[in-house]
Amino acid sequence: MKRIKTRYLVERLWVVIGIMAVFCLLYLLSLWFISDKRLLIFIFSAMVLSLSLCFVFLVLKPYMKMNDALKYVLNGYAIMNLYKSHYIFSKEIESIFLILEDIINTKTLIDATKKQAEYLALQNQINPHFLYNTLESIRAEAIVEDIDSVAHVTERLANFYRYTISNVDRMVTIQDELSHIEDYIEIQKFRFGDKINLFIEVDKPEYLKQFFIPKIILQPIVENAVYHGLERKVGPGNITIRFIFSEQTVNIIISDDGVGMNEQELLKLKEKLNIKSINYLNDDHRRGGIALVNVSTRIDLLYGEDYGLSIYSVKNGGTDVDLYLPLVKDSIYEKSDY
Amino acid sequence: MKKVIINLNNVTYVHRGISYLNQLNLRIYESEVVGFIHIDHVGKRQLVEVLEQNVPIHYGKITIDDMVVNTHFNSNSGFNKSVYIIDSHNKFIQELTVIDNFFVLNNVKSDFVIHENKYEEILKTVLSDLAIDIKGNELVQDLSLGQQKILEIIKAVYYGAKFIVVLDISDFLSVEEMKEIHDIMDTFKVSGVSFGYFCNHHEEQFAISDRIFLVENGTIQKILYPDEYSDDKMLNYSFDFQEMVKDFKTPVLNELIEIKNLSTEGLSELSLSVRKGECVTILNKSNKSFDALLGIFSGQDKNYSGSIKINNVDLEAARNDISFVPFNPIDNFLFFDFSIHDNLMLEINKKYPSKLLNRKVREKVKEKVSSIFGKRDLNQDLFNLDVYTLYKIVYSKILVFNPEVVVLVQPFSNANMYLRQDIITLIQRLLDSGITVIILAVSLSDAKYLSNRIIYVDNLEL
Repeated sequence: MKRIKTRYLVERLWVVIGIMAVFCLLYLLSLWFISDKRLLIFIFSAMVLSLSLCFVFLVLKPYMKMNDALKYVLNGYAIMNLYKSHYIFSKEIESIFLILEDIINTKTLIDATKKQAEYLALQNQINPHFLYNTLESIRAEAIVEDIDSVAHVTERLANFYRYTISNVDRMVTIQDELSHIEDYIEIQKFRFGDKINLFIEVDKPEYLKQFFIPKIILQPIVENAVYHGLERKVGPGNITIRFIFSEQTVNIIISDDGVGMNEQELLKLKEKLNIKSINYLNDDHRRGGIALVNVSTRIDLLYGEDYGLSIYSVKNGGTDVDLYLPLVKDSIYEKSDY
Repeated sequence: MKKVIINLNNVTYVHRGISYLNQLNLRIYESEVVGFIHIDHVGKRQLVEVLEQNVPIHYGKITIDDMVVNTHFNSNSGFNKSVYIIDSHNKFIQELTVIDNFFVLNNVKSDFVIHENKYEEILKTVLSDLAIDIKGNELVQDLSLGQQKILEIIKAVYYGAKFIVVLDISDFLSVEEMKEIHDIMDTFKVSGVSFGYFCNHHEEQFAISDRIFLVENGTIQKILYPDEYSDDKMLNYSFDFQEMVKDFKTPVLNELIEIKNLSTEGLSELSLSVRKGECVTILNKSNKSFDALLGIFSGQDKNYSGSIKINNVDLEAARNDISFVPFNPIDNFLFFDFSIHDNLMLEINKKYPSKLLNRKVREKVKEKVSSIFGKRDLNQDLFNLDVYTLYKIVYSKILVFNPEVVVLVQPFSNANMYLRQDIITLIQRLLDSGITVIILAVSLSDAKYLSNRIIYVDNLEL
C-alpha cells in the first residue's frame, strides 16, 4: 500500500510542480498591474519560466523517456532499450542496471545459445572420433560391395557430423554453411527420395565464399522446414534459399512450400521469437520452434536489434524465414567476442 | 552491390488502440519495384503514411537512404523528402503551366527569380531524354491524367526522390496510361529509383513488380518472388472468385438496351445492345471514352448524338429505369447523417416521391433487405459502420429501387480481397433479381468473373 502511494506521489509530482509554476506566474502577472516594481516582477517571471523549462527538459523528459524504456522492456520488447537509456538518475540506479546487464546480457546468453545449437544439432552426446571411424568403415564396406548409394550417404553423414561437432562458435563462409545444408538434404533424400528438393538462388555466387555468417545458423531452419513443413506434405516439396546482397547487409530467405502454420501456431512462435531471455532453453525440446528461437537469439545478441529473423507462414501455403544479417568479411566478427 | 533504400525494422504502428502495422520488417533495395497486396484494409494507408511522414510509431526503427528518420523514441512528424506518393489526388495546380508546377512549386530548390527560358531548356532536356512530348508552357489542365502523373514522377525524381509509392493507379488511369506509367517506372528503375506499387490485383502486380509483399492485418504474410508468380500460389491468400460465380448462368432474354451510333466528345459512333439480366463490362482503354460514357449514363452530358433506348424508350424518358452507382460510392452515394433505412428509402423516393413516409413501404423495404443486413438495427446512422456494411447499403439501395439496369463505375476500385468478395456477391444478387448490370471500367480486374460480355472501347470506337 505504501509503495503504491509513493508511486502515485512520484508520478504526480510534476503535475504539482506545473500547477505551482502556473500559479506563481499568475500571481506575478497580477502584481504587474498593481505594483510599480515591474522590473523586479519581470525578472521573477523570467526566473520562474526558466526554472519550469529546466524542470521539463532536465527532469520531466528524461523521467518520461526512462519510463518509456522500462515500459518497452515490461511489454516484452528488446532488453537493449534499458541499457541504451542515457538518463541515469542516481549512482545506485546506474549500478543496478550494470548488475542487471551483467546477469541478463550477452555472455551468459551467448554461451547458452551456443550450447543449445550444439544440442539441437546433435540431440545426443556422441563421441565424434568413434562416429567418424564407424561411418568411414560403413562407407568402405559399401564401396567394396558396390552399394554406391550407401557409400554416398555415409560420406555425407560423416561430413554433416564433422561440421556440426567442431567449433560451433566459429564464423564460417556462407558457402560452408550451404555445403552443410546440401549434406543434410542429401541425407534426407536417402530417406525421402525425390520428395525433397533444394534450390539456391543467388545473384552473385562469388559473395558466398567472401562473406561470413555464424556457424549452424541456416541448417536448423532448413531442418525445421523439412521436419515441420515437408514431411507432413503429400507429394514433393521444395525448399528455396534466396540471397539478396546489399552494400552492408545480406538478406537470406528460406522458403518451403510445405503445410505451413495456422494463425495461432504462428502467433505463438512469434511470441517466442520476441522474448529475449534464456527461459526458452528450459522448454521441452520436442516442441517446435526452439531452433528458430535459438537462431534468432544468436543473431540478436551477436549483431544487435537492427538485424534478426522474421517468419511468415500460412496454412497450406508454406513458410518463409527471412534472415537479415550484416555482411562480415572476416571470420572474426569485431563487434563481439563470439 | 545493391543499396538498401528503405529499412523498416520491427515497426509497430498503433492508433487509438488499434494496431495497424504489426512488427513489420521489410527492406526495399535500390532499382526495384516492390509490390504490396493488402488482403484486408488494415494498415495500407498507415504504411504509406509511415513511409511518407515520420509519424509517431509505437515501436521500431525506420531508415531511409542510410539515415534513421523515425524511431519509437523520436518521431519528428516531418516529411521524408526521399519518398513521394503518386495517387489519385492532383498535386499540380491545373491553371498553371507545366514549368510553373515543375520548377516554381517545389519545396526542395527555390530561386528568387523565375528564369522561364532556363527552366524550359531544362525541362526540354529532361523530357526529350525520356521521349515524352509535353511542352513547358502548356497548362496542366490541358494534359491527360496519365501525362500529369508521369510529370509528377519525373518531378519527384528530378528533386531527389529515391522511393516512389504508386498507389492504386489502375483505379483512375486507363490501360494505355498505365502502360506509359509502367514504362517510365522501368526507365527510372534502371537509374536507381525504387517504387512501391500498391494494388490489390495480383495480375497487375505480376506484370510490374520484382517482389510482392502480401499483407494482412498489418503483418506480412508472404513475400512472392517472380518464380512464384502464379494464380495457384495466390489461391492460398485470396479467394477463388471464379468458383464463387460458377453457378451463375447467362440469361437468354430479350434485348433491353439498344445503343445506336452514340457520339460525343471522346466517343465515336458506338453501337451495342444489352439483353435483360445480362452483365456487360465496358472496358475503356482511354480515359476520354470512359468520361464520355460516364457523362451520358449519369445524365450530366445530354449533348450526344445517336440514341440510347431502354425497353424501346429513350434514355432521358426512362431515367427511372436506370440507376447509377458512382466511383467511390461510399463518399459519393451515401448520406452518413441519415440512417441505413433512410438511405435505402432515398433511392425509392426518386421513383415514388409520395411514398417516402409510407409505413407499409418502409416495412416492405425492411423485409426485402433483411437477408442482407440480418438483425442489424436499420435506424442507426452510417458513421460507425465498417466498409463492408457501407457497400451492402450501396447495393441494397439499388436492390430496393429495382431498376431495369444499373451502371456501376469501377466497382472494385480500392477494394481489398474480402471486400471484392462481398462486392461480387452483391452484384450477383442484383443479377439474380433480374437487374441488368453495366460495369464501366478502365481495368478489367474482377469484373471478368461476372461479365457475360466484355466490350473494349479503344480510340473512341468499339
